[in-house]
Amino acid sequence: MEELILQLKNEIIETLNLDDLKPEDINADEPLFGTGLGLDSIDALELIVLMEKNYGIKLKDASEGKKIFVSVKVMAEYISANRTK
Amino acid sequence: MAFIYDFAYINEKRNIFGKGGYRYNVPDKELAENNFLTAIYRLCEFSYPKFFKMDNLSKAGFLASELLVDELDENFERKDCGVILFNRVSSLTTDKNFENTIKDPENFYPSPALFVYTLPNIVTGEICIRQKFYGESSFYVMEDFDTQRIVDIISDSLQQNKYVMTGWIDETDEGVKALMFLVTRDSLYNTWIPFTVEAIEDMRKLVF
Repeated sequence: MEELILQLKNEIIETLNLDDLKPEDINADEPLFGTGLGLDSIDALELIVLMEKNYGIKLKDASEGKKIFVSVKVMAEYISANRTK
Repeated sequence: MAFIYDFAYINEKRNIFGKGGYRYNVPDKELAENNFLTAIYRLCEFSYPKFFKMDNLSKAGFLASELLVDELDENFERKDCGVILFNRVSSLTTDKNFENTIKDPENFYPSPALFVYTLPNIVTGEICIRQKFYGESSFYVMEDFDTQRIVDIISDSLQQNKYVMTGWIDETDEGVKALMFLVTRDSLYNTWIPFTVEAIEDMRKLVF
């Protein structure tokens, strides 16, 4: 799981152009939206694309993202349980 | 009579950027670690995380606008400032980048972050949000740098806005070129450069 969390942090930084951040700056339990990383709605869409592109997970309903994108750790757990690639 | 408060510019091909009489080059060391626009951002020590999410057109607009307002105080009434920009190739580079995310049916992952920048006027919005400008904003795509037309459009806009941040921002295979200037209906801080075709042509020769 730790390996997946680190991989996810790197992918989030690259995909969302968080150029000022390093993986160690992201707390795996920190909220991705609102406080924490302060991501926006476009970032949420990018995360949905990332899940499909890198892990073969297609969210049927965008609102599912609310439960999954709580933190990097929650995201990693969901990916681990549902990935097809 | 309208006046030009000051001008800011970026020319990637010539590796220059600056404001008014101040001209800088991006050192090789910085270019080795960052692309040209990000290097300028870091050299100027700006702080606006959204910068990294922007396309190059918006990045150049952000940088030039930051340079332009750098020394302005409350005498400059931001809410009365409009933003009107011009270029030749619209948002073509970003359009192509977005196309790359959808052209392969086997690898069809349209990027929302790229898609939102597939219009040239997004840069005017980014500048208005950052600088808290509430005046008219528009983006004109024209065949060439038509100085007389630019003067006509801005002069017309000055009927409504006290100030207009305007200029040319384009991205081609040669990189990003931006020349932006702040035009004021009345003299601001004893600005004396008249807003004329000749003045713009002089700036253009200096920068492009």
